[in-house]
Amino acid sequence: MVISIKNLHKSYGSNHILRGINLDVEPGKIIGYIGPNGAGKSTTIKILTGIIPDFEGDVSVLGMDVRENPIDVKRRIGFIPENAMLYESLTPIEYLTFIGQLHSLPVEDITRKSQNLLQVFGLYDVKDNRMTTFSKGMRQKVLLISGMIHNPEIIFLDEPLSGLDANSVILVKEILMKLKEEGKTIFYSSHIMDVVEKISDRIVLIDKGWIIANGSFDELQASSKSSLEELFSKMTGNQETDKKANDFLDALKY
Amino acid sequence: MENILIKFIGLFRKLYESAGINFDQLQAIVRTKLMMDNRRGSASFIQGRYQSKESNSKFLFVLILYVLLGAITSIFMGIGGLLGIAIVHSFILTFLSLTLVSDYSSVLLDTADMSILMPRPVDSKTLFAARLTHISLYVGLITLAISFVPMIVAGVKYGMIGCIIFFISALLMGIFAVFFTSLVYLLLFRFTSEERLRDIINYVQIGMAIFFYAGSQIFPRLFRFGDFKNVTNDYHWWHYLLPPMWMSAPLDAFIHNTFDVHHLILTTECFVMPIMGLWIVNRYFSPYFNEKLAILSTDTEGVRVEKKNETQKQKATSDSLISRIAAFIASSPVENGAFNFVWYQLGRDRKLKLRLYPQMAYSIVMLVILSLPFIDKNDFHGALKEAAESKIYLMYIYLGTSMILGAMQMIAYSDDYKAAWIYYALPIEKPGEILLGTHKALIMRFMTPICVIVSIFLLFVWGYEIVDDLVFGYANVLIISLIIATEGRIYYPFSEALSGQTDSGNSARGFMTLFFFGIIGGIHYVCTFVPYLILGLIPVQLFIVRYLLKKYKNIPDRFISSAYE
Repeated sequence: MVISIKNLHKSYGSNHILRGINLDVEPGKIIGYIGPNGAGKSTTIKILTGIIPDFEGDVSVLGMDVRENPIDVKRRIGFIPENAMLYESLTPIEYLTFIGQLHSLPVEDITRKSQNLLQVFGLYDVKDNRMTTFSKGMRQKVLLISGMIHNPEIIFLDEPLSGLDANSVILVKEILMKLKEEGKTIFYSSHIMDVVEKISDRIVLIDKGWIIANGSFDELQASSKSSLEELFSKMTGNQETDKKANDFLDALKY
Repeated sequence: MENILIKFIGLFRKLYESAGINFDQLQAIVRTKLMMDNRRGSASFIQGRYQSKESNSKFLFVLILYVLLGAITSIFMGIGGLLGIAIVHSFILTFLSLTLVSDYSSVLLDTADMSILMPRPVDSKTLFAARLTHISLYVGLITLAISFVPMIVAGVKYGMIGCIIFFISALLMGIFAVFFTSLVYLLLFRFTSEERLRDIINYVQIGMAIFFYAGSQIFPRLFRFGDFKNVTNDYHWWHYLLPPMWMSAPLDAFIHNTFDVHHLILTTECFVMPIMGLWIVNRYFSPYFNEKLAILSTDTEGVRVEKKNETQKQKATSDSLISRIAAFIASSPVENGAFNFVWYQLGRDRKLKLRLYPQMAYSIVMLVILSLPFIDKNDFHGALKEAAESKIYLMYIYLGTSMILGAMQMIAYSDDYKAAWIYYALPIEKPGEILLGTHKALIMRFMTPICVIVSIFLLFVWGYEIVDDLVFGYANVLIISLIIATEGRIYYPFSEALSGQTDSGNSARGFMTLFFFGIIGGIHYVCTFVPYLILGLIPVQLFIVRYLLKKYKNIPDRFISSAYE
């Protein structure tokens, strides 16, 4: 098991975000972590990556307790956060060099690698421009590179596809598949259900701080043949979308 | 600049490493932070101006400004005495605290750090050391810049040792300023929400911009009191509470070779207080800040939504008066919508406020400066009486309201200029109504308050006889503003990217405006000599205003410059 979560609880004040998550992940798998807004997806990922140290329960990544050895964990994993937070007054090369240095990689290696990776994403021409002028998709690409530049064993991605155009979505999808073939573990959250449906080996659905479904897409489908989107809305108790849509139209009229 | 500083830190590599710190990581973090400092500049200096050029030496530029400010304060150093030195130190404390408050979010606590550095394998010790090193360099450089000229003066007057003593005490003052600023923030954090905190920082930045402007204008004019050299060094108990007194004690003791109890206590405070402050910040404040930051940067959406609703409710009630005014002076739906939209933006958009309010204050500062010659005289009442016989009030009428033109020009620019697509996507029959609503909001926000304040002041000094001049003058300003609005380049509000603006063009236009106002004021002045002429002209003005309003409202959209493609 590369990831093992036992009875994970987390709350902010009186606000219970996670209410007992239990999850084991075997190596070389792609895990799609889905759930409605505010279900606790980001919080789980932040705990797994050692960013949030105070929580209840036992969490180990690559066999190490994330509370005891956060630095060793962080050395071997990659994290791509959801809100495109980066130092935008830097250029992509400067930013990636900085991140690489924090991982104690030699500067020449980082520069070469960064240039090649930027080339793949079509950002080579703007590699020396400050990122203040970058679109959301361009920033997301830089973030993707920065999360993987140290060749991590597990990659955590929080909404990795937001802001990317269709071709880039396909490219990232392919990259994730190839990384899996290399034996890497991918743990990602997303709202784009058909992507999750296609590339995930296992889908974990959480709602209100609980895991309510956990299995391959075929297993989830076992009871009824429907798309992940329909399953999602059924399981998160949101079957009234039809009524809501009607209410919406009514409200427009009056 | 970064490279020199990085080399400088490199000297201490062994020291860092012996403390168990990953020096390479520390160096990378500090270098990046310095690089960003240099690109960002100081909010109060650069943001208030125009952030068009990408520069790699904005911080350097700020430092040079501080050297110049320090040069002014060195006059006090030249005057000497415990008080003179204390004044220099109080300048250091003031400048540094104000700078730290306005740059706090990027220097002392950076929320981006949490999400960028936390996922990386950097241990908290290294992170803390990097932060401390960066802050020390930042504070050290500013302190060095401000105290640079005073240091030379101290060196010339009191020799090398005096110079060194002064520099050490200045650095201690720098450390104390960090403690002081942290304390201020701690209080702000305790009693205000995050949103309000951002507003407060914004106001501090606006205040800074005004302070520096006003200071540079007024300060040199105050130099007539060379006589506080003679202030006897009386000792009071409250001297022990004033940080500048602590810091100036060592140098004073050295100069006069007096090591009495008073100097000894102050000197002890000089060394103990900053170090104690640093210890308190480290021991008590940092954990608290980190905890607060963790809460700020993690999404607790539910909680935040609740809070927002509360503040919005408050806003709604306080805005109801203005919406009633809006309904009265901008009655058509489109005009009214534009009025309210611009009004809200003027009250909420922080960057807009940072650009506009200092300007508003500048014109008030100008008025004060121009009034100084009167106040200077020992006989204040006599001076007032003398003024009341002149026609100097015309200057107040025109100068005070002239800033409306600056605001008109600024309103076209915004960071959210892309949101201007609405003007092109919506079926707006008369784009002029949007422009007119904007114009009326600007008049309400910037001209009316100044009109009221200046009028009260003028009526107090000159009496009711000048009511016709007030009406005539303000109507003139209104007419000028409308002429410029209809004849100049016309933009939708908030529809232009900020980077298109150039500094030089702006000041040139400023001079043109002043010149124009001078001519109108001159004509007004001549008119006052013909009895009843002004009273007779007011109806004509009303007619012109009506005509211009109509013209502005019906302006064809091909006259409106469009940046939208």
